Amino acid sequence: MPDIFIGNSSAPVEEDAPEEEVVEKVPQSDGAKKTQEAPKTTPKHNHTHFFAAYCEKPPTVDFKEKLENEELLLLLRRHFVTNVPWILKAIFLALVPPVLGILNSSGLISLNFLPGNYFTMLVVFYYLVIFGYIFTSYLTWFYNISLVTTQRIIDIDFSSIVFENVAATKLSQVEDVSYSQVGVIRSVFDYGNVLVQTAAHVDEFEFKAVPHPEKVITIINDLIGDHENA
Amino acid sequence: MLESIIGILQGLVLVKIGLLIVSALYIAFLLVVFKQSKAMQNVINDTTTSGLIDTIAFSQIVVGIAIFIAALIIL
Repeated sequence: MPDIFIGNSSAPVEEDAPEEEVVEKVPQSDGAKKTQEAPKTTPKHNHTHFFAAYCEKPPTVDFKEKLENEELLLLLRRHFVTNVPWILKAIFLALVPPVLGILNSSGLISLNFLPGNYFTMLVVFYYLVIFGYIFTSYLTWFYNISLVTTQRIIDIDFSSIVFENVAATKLSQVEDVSYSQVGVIRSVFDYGNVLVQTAAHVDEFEFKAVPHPEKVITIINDLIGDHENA
Repeated sequence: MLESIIGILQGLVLVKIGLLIVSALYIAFLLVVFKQSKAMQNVINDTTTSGLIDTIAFSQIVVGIAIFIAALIIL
């Protein structure tokens, strides 16, 4: 049995570092059992995209009322799996006109009570409404963001298009951080609720259904430890 | 015969007016969506995604207006 994972004793790895190091293992050509490790310091999840729910140190994200020397460490959204209900609804609604058309052509129902151009306009408008539903649902997910910075925890709530609420607390006011991950789907997709209890006016922050909750509380606890030591 | 044709036409006019009212209201809703997406970009801005979100929100308004005009002319 060849040994695949042989650690390099000369290169110590920081276990508590918030950034995950990506390690490339390159087999040597002389058939030896040793493998060569090439550590990179780039975090695994540092790039944002349209479906990103967990981002460490996103370089392209900026937020309002950023403090001096404040650095964004974590950007969190609900896990993308939580979007499945509205996606299924949209697919179902999008399938209604073709199904009605098939039923009409097979003679099971009759849709001849309106002229063709009226039907065309209604169907086009119907699809515009469905697209609007998809877009607003996506925006609601996209702008419900929790941020962890080097100085604060910020919770941005955005729901029903017209409601927005931004709450922030300093790390020094954080009293306790915990997470809950209940259910099969949450365990399979590794997401859960992170609860941050504070001594501030807003007594608790809840990051709902965020990916890798264990990692999140580790990062926040590390930050609190750093603040207490400083 | 004539009465039934007039009845159908009156029904179609009602459908047209209904569609115009609903599409006008929907355009107003799309304008709110566009404004809100802009407002949220002021709160948090991601340069990689904000451009496309703006484009989608704006193109929806354009399509909504196009449907309104088409309904006004064609129907």
